[in-house]
Amino acid sequence: MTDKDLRRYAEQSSEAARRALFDEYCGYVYVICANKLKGCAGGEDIDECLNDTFAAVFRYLDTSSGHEGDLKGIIGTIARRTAISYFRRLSPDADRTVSIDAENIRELPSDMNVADEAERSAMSETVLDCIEALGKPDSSIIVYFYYYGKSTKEIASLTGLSSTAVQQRLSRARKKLKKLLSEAGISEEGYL
Amino acid sequence: MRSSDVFSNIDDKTAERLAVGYPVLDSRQKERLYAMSKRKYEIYTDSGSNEVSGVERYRRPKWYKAASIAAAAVLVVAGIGGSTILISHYGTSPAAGTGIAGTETATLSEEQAASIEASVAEENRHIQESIAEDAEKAKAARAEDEQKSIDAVAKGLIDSYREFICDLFAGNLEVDKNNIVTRTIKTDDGQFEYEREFYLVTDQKYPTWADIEKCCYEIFDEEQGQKILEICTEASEDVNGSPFMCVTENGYYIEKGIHDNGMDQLVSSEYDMSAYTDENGNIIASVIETELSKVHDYIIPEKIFTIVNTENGWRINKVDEEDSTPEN
Repeated sequence: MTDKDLRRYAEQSSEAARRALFDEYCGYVYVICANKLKGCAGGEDIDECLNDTFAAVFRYLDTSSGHEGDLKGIIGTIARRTAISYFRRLSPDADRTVSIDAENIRELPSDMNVADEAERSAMSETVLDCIEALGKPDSSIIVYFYYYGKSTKEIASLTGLSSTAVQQRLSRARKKLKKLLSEAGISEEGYL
Repeated sequence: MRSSDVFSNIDDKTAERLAVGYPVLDSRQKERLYAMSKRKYEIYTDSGSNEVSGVERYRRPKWYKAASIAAAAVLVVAGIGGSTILISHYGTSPAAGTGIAGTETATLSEEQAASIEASVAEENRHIQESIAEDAEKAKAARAEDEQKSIDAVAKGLIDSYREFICDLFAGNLEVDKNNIVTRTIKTDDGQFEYEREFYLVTDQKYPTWADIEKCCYEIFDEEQGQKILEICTEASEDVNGSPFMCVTENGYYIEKGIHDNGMDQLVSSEYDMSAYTDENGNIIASVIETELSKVHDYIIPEKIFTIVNTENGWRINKVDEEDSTPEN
């Protein structure tokens, strides 16, 4: 959806614009929230995070008339910030402070490292290509498990397989993916 | 970089690919989420419209000052009047008495006060002691209850474990000895081949291989359960090593040697168990085979079970054997 589309919907009614925006970016925001909160939050928390994100996006659209720039990027940023604040609240172990003497102090980004970001993005793409090469339903199982943080029971209801079958397929798919990643030049220990 | 980095903190491009290729929300869930988002937005905008602006001067009513003075005057008059009535009713005030009488009264009061103070202190001490005693008792009762529930969880799982392991490896399963399949087994290095025979399992306790899997995941956590099932049926299509089981379309089979040379009947033998909770909240239970130790002349090592609380409940995560060989 472009700004032009959004304006067109807004001309009809602001409700129509909100609805269209939600339909377009609902899945996208859900991925970001689920990915950030996996392991520390349940399904209801992820839903709440998505609701807060869209409430913030709707408010942003009310206040910024004729905004310029990438709408998807803005929504992604709002989703990430909301998810991070949920993560901090829900995860008691989340590191909120960093000691100046800590070893990982070097890892704190002082500015965006374009080269690192590009390399990371390319690697994410390769990993996803390898996952897609597994074919369905194995690729779906891996994505739901690793990216969305779903349990095998939840994956079973999403894929229509039994919970045991999901566990078995996950184990086999993991081995296959490891091999594919290794062939693609990503062979560091500890990926899977 | 580890898996947490590869699969976490995804960029916009990856998020979009996942949202398009692997959606998780159906239309009903989307409807619900939209309604909730809209409601939140409306709550925010409503509360935003209730902003306070401007200043309004507050004027105190004129009668308020007069009423305050009158109320204060009533209090003063009531105080003086009350005191006068009391003095006239009970005679002179204690301060107006003679020096001797005053001293006696004062001495008595001090003694009484000291005695009252002592008795109050004693009473307080008793109360404190009784509270501390009650707290101690409650703490002990809680610890006892906790220990009981730890023991119950550990015992339940360990009993199920012994039964399941005996069913699998100690010849407990009912089999049809006339229905035999033969598999060629290769050694790990692929140099040698030999044949193994397997009986068809007809046990009603586990009619299919899926029942074995179900039982396994009710005792072990996902990781350990998977490991045990993999060991049992290791590559059933292309058999390597020494699998105990063989799963086919017609049912599942158990290796003849394993079934016929059953091990000790762990299920019914007595054992001693002690369990506690470690710093991670896991239950650590150690088991000593008291009955089998008397029967055998070799040492049966102590088994240490690590039991973890998974999303499906308590499950065995690890079984270690403590080396109890006496040092020479």
